[in-house]
Amino acid sequence: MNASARALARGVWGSRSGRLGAVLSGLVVVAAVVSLVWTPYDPTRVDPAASWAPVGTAHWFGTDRLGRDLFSQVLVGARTTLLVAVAATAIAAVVGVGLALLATLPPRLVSEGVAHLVDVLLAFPVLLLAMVLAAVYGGSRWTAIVAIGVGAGIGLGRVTRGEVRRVLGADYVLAARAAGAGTGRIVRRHVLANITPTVSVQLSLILGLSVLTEAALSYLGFGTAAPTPSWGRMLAELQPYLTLRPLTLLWPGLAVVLTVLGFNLLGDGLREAGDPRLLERPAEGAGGAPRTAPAAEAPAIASASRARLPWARGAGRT
Amino acid sequence: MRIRSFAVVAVVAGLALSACGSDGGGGGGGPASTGGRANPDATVTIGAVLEPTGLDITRTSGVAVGQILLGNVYEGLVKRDQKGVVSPALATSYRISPDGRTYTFTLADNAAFHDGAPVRAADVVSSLTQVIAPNSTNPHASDLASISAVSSPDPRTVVLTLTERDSGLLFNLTGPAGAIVRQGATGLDGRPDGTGPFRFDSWRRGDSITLVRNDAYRGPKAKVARVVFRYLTDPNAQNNAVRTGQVDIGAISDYDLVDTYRGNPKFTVAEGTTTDKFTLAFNQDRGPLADVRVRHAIRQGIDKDGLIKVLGAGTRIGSPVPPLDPWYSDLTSIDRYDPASARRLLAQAGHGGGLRLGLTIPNIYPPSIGDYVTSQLREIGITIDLRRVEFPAWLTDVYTKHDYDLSIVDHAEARDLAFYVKPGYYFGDRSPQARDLAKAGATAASDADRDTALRALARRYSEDAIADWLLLAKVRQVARVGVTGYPTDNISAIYDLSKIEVVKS
Repeated sequence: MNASARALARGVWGSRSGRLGAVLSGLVVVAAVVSLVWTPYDPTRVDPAASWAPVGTAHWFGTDRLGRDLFSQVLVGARTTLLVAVAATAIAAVVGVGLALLATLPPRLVSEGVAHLVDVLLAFPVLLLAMVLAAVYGGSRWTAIVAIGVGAGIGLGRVTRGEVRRVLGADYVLAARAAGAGTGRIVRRHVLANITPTVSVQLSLILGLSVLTEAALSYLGFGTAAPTPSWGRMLAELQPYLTLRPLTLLWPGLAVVLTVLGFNLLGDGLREAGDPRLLERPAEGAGGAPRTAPAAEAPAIASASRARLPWARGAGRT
Repeated sequence: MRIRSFAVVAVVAGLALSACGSDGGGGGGGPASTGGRANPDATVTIGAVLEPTGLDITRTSGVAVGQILLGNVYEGLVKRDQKGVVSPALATSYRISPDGRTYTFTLADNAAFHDGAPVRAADVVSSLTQVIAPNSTNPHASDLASISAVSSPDPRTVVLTLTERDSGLLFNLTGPAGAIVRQGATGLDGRPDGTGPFRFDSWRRGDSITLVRNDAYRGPKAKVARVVFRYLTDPNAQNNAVRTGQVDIGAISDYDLVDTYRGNPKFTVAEGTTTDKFTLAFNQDRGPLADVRVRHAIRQGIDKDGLIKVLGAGTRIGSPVPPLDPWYSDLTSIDRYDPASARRLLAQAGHGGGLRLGLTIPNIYPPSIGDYVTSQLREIGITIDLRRVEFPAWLTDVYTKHDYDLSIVDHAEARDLAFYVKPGYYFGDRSPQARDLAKAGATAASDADRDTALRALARRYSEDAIADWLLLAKVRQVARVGVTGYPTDNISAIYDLSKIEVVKS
């Protein structure tokens, strides 16, 4: 972990929402990891004798109609959720940043075309895309991952394009270009480094969105296929008993809510830590700020923007 | 070769059926009328699950079409009641020759089609001749395969000549193959024209089918003016439709949900038996399942009583014969639940180190059945690759190409014992002994002989472990109070609407 990442982590932990988000997200990761080595029961093992067992020491969250242990299912479901969320978010990052670059860097005719295409694609809901994919290739985790990743990536591309344009217009980029830096170097050293805060906040929101979408798709039968436990499928299977056995639905529902909340709060924390305009006090130094690249090549601008901060925040309070 | 698509599609019918039918016990009518004043102008809306693919009863396969039209819009020479007992319908009487090869029917003289034309012997001859024709497109043609000729010596008499005795002929004549349509009738898909107590009114595809009372019916008139079958494939939608009064009668298969209606003064719950046999078929033609020990092991490894317990209802059967059939015998003691013995059998068959099998199951059935079987088989060392597929994919892969190891479907047809000796059927008993027993049953001269042969055939199936019969489903209908007379059992694939009545409230 390099210095800037450490500072970012400190910043996230320092904010209340960031800390809560980190704890909740961490909980999901721990549940997923624990489920790899231990679950109280085999989550798919049916036990007629334990049908609808109540919450208790034998079954912490009770059981479903087939006598399957709900706690074990929630644990293993965390694995599914995390896999889909992380993989989809990775795809979204690649698709989103790629689209943003394509919509700014090439000659005007191409870049404007891509930008408009993104605007059009934005009109297709992710759920619909996922259903189309599932109809063609069959519902599975992977169709869900691809659909969520591509769908969210398009939205990300739309947001990121503005950021890329802003960075490309910045003085330090002009300076770098004047110094003879090629497009590739500018993208690597300046653009990617400077859009990272915005993109990472967006990605943490996409993490949360992926969790929700995966649950929705599995609920509708287009996502994770049986018998792999998934929170969405648990909700679908238990939903008819909503009025009869509401407690059974509480667990997967709570798991989804807390996970989404965790990822979103983590995003808030990241934003606060990564956005200098929200900092309470001046950064300890250029080296500790997240924007390494501009700090190195355009220290004047970076420190100038930071220099205003205490005053701005102070003014807001008085 | 005639493809017996009935057999297959009937499987779907399991669901169609579960959309209609069930019983409080006894006579096969819903709760008796409460003595209020019946409303002859009432409309009854029935929540159904499986919509027919077409309405031409002479061409459409599947049980759904017969369930709606048979006995209601169309009639045969004879009809069967909820218990399978055959009685005259369009024929007022019939005579069977001592050698069992000539059936003589006398037609009712006041029967008429819905367009007003009288029913003549020529209509019956043409209807049945089309079914048995060599190039017949009737999916149920094999039901009447024993008939060699249909003739009519006079306008009120029809004579069927058989190639050999057929103990199942009368029963089969009550089914879709025996439906009488007008000679030369066309356009039956859009406008079914029969002789029954209801006329076809309209079909909104994907939504509903409406029948209206035939006021010119020769027998007792229907007691409601209009019946609407509304198609609600989703169990939750069905449940909500019943609860909110969008349908008057609905099938609720989930026992937990049914319990929420019990004790509610606005609804009556009726539970009935069916012919829906959830069948775990073994593909004997390839791989490990060719070994009878593996098949017995699987049967012994699945606790059917446990499955019935978690599903909330169902009857344990040890063969494809439901308890109401005359040739039923209790075969549930063959391959009792015994995981230790199952593991021993697998070890003897050389699979002590584990075995991997595919299980194909159409996604129209509750997922719990596949999950249950998968979990139970894992306990005896069999790993299941579960494939949930659309029903057409099941038809292609399992039924037609026989590309499967294990398969679960609901065989909904009544009296289907003979299917499983057919060459080319997707599973079954290929031995000559089984074929001889099936033939002996079909051509038996007396009911007792028939029952003896078929009982032996069912036992053979079970002892040879051609399949495991997981359970015989039950059907539960919830009806609005005031609606009575609906069929509660579901063993005849016919949903008799003629006795339904609605009390004015």
